[in-house]
Amino acid sequence: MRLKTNFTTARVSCECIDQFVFLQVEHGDHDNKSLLRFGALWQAHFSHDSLLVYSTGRSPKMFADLRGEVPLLTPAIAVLSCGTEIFYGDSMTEDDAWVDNINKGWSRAAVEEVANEMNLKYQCDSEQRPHKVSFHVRKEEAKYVIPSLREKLLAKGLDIKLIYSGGLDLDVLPRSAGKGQALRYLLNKLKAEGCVPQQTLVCGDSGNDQELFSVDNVFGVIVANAQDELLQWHANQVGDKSHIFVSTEKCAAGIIEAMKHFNLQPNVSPRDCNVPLSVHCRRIPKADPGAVAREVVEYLLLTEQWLRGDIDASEAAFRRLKFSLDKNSNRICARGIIDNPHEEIESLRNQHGSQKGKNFRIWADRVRSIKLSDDSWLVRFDKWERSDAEWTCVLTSALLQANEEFPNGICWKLIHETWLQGYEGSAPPRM
Amino acid sequence: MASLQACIAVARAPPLSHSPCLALLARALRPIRCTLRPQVRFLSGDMAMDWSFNWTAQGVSFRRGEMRFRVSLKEEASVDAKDQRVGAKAIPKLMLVSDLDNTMVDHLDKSHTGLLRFNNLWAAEYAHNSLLVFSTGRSLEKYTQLRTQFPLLTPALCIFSVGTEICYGANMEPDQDWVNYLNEGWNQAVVLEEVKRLNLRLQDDSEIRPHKVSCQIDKKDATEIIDTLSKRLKDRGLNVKLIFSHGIDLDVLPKGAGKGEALAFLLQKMRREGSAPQETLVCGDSGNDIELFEVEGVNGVIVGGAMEELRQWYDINGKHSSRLHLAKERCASGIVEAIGELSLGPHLSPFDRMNSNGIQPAVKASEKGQLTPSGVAQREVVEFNTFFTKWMNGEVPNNPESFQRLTSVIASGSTMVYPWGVEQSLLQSVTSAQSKHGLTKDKKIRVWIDCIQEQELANGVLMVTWHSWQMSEGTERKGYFATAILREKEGTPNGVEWLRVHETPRKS
Repeated sequence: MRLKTNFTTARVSCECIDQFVFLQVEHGDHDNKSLLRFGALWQAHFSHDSLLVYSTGRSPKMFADLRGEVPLLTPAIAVLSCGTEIFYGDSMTEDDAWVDNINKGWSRAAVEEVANEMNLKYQCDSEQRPHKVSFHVRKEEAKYVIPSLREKLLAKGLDIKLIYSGGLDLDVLPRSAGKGQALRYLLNKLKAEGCVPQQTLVCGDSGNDQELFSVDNVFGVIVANAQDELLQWHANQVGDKSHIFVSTEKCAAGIIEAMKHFNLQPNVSPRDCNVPLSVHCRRIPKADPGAVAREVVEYLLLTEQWLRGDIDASEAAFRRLKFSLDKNSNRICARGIIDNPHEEIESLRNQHGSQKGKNFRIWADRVRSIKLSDDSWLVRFDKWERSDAEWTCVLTSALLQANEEFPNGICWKLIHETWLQGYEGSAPPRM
Repeated sequence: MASLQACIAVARAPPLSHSPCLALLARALRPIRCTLRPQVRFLSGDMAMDWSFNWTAQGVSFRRGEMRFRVSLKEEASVDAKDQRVGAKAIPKLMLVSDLDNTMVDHLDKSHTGLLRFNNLWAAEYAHNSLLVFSTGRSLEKYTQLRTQFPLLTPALCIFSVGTEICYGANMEPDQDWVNYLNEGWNQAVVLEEVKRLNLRLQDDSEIRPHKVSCQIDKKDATEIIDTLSKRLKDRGLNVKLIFSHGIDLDVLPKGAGKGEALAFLLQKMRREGSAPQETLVCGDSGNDIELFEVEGVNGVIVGGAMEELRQWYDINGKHSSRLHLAKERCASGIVEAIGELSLGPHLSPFDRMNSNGIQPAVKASEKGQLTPSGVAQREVVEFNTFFTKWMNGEVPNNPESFQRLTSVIASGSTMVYPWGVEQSLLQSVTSAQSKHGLTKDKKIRVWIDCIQEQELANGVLMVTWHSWQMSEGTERKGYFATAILREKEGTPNGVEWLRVHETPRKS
């Protein structure tokens, strides 16, 4: 499948893994704060010209599960099952050419045969994939099981690699597969289409991420909560390893820290600073897709902060929310009525702080805009809302127009919403 | 967006050419907030109109009872209305004033074919520049009931209760001038008294309105009752008129009331405001419609199946008139027939042009040479929807060339949000429908489009909004609010291609 891209340089290509998320939840970040921080940064500043790629050991099913549990952005590319499966876009279309690549010297049946001989313990069904056979091997046994397995598989004429991570998981893959191989493959593909990213940032926390860091011309970050095996590997590296940064922060926060370290701009998440309430007295805002994405992120963020009571119930903040909406704007609400959001927002006044203590978050995903003219855009985004147990999502189309008389230089003229299938809300929405 | 390619491709689509004209215009109007574009007016509620939304833009506030047209930009932009880039004209091309029961609505046609044909023609060819007016003997309550039973479009205004009530907008704002006018020489209490004195049978409460008292009498007694009642009311100092129709209904109204008077009043008002329609077509089937035909300067159609009293009138008074047409077809089909016979505008709807013989293109001769002629995007929306529905119903031939009509107008990378909460590549989902020809042939889907409006967002980029309705045999009708962005493209049937569609189910 051809990766067709039309831009000449993506600014940053960022690879993230999911393990940190798993750990994040364990470490009590039930709020997923750092994921949201990263998400806001990405949507506001990078979504329009950069590629977000996830590279994880998770299988498609486990990946889908994860996306239902934490506020994970939709990636442009998902490299799953330890780099043996590559999927593109929202519809997760598989890359068949990659499959052809990794078929050489691989036979799943042969691997199983050997494994059964050795009485290895298989992981659950969902983790068994066409080009990945996965086992649980205890740390103590790993020392001899792994070399033995390797020998036997090589003897069978297979061209494989073994990856041991987390002190428990053993994956057997074709040697031409793997996270690093997949990354190289993708970079080559982008190059072939004339769009090499200016920078590539890879992030890892465990054994199966080692390969990522050895791809040419990438920056790397090892997050603070990384597994020993990765930290050990890093310590053992000789030569210039300045392209790898060991972060003091965990998970997604570590990525942001690394961006600051490597001076990849912008690197301040909208969630880490005050949402600007007015751009009056500033220069006329440059109308660009980045500005549109920022407006979407900032608007939703400010709404969240208002409802959580994270900001004061100031008139300036409320005005920012109300007067960014055109007086004559229209909204088709997901619940099937049409209203004027500029007027309806008055009801938000009393709702300041109404979501305090309820784990309430609003975030945007898949923010994409189409320029209609020099000063107007059609933007589409998924608006997610979460409070305690309930997650809802609204597929949104909006018409935005540059107009310096409006607080952020941009005004909302039209909002059209439809509930995302499976995430319909029941209570009347707030905004 | 469905794929990486699509995502990136669209994000990097070449910018549309800058329009210096519009930019200048925008600067000139800077003190006026956002009046030019994009102004999107939405229609909320059932009698959907946009009266309350946009008119405060220039400090022009909505004045009760004053006529406003949906797509009129006259009040909002102090630019030369001849400048076609600004948008729709203030002067309606056609004002169609129709009775409902047995005129627009055929109670004998359970499949609503005639009405749907009319709706299709109206949405495609007239919604952007013409006015639809219903003039009914029904009260508001009975009208609302009728709307739940028949696929009626939303009119610009409604004249109820045999011309005694003129109402605008979603809130059914009554025209106060009309109320004041009718109050002269009228006293409802007195009329009710006299009616009781004669022991006449009153109709339902809903048919007794501030300026209308309705009863039911026997045909054979009609002449006598009418004479007596007239005299008595005159003696009591009132100035009334009595109308007998359908062989049973007797309406007592102020002298100045009536469907004809109400229409004349409206036309006069519109003339004063400089917004009188170029042509008016009145449509009726019974006695209380006669006055409509007698209003000066109007065209008229007597639909097939009309009542005897109206046919008689036609034989005596109307036969010679070139502006009057006695239709062969029943009800709404008769209206469509008349539009053609009287040359009031296009009369071939997409519905009519797409059938088992294939697809005939629309006649577009008059629009050649115009910059961004208004209404093309609307026609495209109606045509696209009509063809798609007919394809699924198996009502057009199953050949790939004709299916191309759909796929050829979808821009690459365009997407649609479906009302059930899924977003897909528009091209992909339409293409996948190709194999579903005739899927619903046993339970045909009927679709109609209401409240369709078009807006130019930027040079060559148009937004269309509409309410779409769907029904099929045995199922409740379902409504959707839709918005779409279309862009000029040469070589397409209507000169536009689709960029984006978004639909939300309407709250039931």
